[in-house]
Amino acid sequence: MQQLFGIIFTTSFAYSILRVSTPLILAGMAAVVSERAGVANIAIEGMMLISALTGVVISAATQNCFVGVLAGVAGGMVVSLILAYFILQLKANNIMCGLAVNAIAKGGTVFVLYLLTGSKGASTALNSLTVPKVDIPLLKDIPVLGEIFSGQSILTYTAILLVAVMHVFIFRTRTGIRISAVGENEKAVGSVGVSVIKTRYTALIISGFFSGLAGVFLSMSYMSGFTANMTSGRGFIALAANSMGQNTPWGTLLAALVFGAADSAANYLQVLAVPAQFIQMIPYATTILGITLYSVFKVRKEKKIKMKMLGMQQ
Amino acid sequence: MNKKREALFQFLSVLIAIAVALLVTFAIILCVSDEPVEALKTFITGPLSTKRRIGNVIEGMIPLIFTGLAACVMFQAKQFSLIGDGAFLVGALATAVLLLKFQLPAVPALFLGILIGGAVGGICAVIPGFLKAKWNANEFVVSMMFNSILEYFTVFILLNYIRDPGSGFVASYLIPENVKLPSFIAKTNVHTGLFIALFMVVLTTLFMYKTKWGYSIRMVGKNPRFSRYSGINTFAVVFSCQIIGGFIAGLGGSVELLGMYDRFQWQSTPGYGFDGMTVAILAANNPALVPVGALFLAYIRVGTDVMARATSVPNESVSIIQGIIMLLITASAFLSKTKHKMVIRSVRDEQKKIKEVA
Repeated sequence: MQQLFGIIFTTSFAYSILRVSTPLILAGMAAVVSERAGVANIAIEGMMLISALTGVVISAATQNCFVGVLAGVAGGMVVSLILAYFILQLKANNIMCGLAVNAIAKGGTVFVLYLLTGSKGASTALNSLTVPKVDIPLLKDIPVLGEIFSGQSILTYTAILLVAVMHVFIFRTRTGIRISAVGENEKAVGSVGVSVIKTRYTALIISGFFSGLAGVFLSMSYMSGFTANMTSGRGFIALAANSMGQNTPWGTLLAALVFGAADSAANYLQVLAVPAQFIQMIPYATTILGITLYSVFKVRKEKKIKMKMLGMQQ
Repeated sequence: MNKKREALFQFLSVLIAIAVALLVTFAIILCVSDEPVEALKTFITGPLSTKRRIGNVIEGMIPLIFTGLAACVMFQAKQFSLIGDGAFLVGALATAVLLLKFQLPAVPALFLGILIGGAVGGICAVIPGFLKAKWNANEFVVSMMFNSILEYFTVFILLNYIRDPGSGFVASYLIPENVKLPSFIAKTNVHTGLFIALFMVVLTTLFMYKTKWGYSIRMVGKNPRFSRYSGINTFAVVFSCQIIGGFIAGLGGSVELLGMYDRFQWQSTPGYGFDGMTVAILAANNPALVPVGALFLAYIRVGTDVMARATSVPNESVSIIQGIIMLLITASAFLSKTKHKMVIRSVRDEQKKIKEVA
């Protein structure tokens, strides 16, 4: 136990939580915006993969990191546009569509990787770039805090900044409020002349943007290069983080940090005498627990509201 | 639209989806291959070129039939659970553990081995199924997460309890020869598990269309509120359909292990649960049509494998085909104009009939 605390209360552990959580935070924002519009986006996972590969390939081709990131994000947005077309225009079931996109992404990225590098595993043959890490002046000199918050990837800071932006966007802008309204009651929104489909398109494209950024972070910052199936379920954990965070940006950020902590704990706890497999289960078990708690609370809340309404009628 | 026309429409849309998916694949092959004609030829005719390959197609069908049936039962109740994936893996694991740890006479060992695979597969579905039925927790995400847990659990058991250190790779001890499902076509691995699979097709079809329970499952999928008001126990239906799905997928895992392998060696899911979803969609969620969907998927799978070996086109092309087919079939409206015409025609026919009667 002493050993355990020795590991957990270190600055390097806190630093790694932030690093591990970044893709979850970004993908979590993708989940927030789509879920708010009433379309559960199962395809975040697949979009992340496609963006991760696109970022690597383009950054290797142009030798410009920024262009690589942009291309990756654009990739995610294009895929989300296609997904939106199928779900909104062709009225296809969103879970099935999401699964299909994930299948295409999982196979397609390996397909392209193999054609480009001759390897089905990793993009080591490509000379891709990584997003630089930056030290933050002043902050880096503060003990403890500096060690945790300074020296992270630019994308990590971007992610936290974007959570604040999302908060303002969702609660303070016209489009943001419309997105939430569409998710809550599409008929009411339609009746006042707002296009439901257009609003959902906007939401899904924003979702693609965040998925893209999350994917790019994985291949151009978390690791340097693309490996097959490198998202390993993060897109789904993001969905869980969103439901635990009750569809709010800050709540989702918090939930993402919890999952990130479970994930990095799994990395750190491998020194303990517990079989590695059980430690590797921690993030997934935490996720299930999170979803369960959220669902129980939701059911209770709905019951309470129902009882209140019944009471009012009498 | 009357039922016949609806079925015809569904059939047509599946056919068109397959055609489009294949066309896209052909286009990709044309772009990436140096010898596109050769690649296409091996892809289309490869699976039929030798007896062994025809055998590969039939062997490939067997697990897909099981997970396809599992997906059908869950989809009919609109439960989008991926637990079939984990149940398949752990079902096979349970069979391996039983056969390696207990010395049983051949016939009961085979019987028990397969049954325990199914039972454990059903148990796998308890957590996602219960959480969904009781608190409406998203069964898709929960099953997905639970599958990862099941994978690690499988690795743990494999490494610590049944691993044969003498085998050159990570695998269990040899499964006793006398409990394996024998192959019955010479020079292929087509094993008697095929009959178990087909038996399950009949059983599941009867269950879904001839029993009250099956009816409840279909009803809940069509209209959960109506079902609840008409007295169907929706908790039991939502919960049980996932358990049944897990059970069938678990059976599939055992049969696959006993038919195709000498040792248990999976350290991650072989992905048949997801493939089963594709099969179920191809079969329009009708258990009786699952073998057809499974045959198609197994065929293109062997086709892309043969193509990958003969040319430079990697066999991941199969998941692209699979994805496009899923996208197009679920996009019911992509033939909306045709559907509209068919509706008009059927209304006209009915009016004619009414006039004739009058």
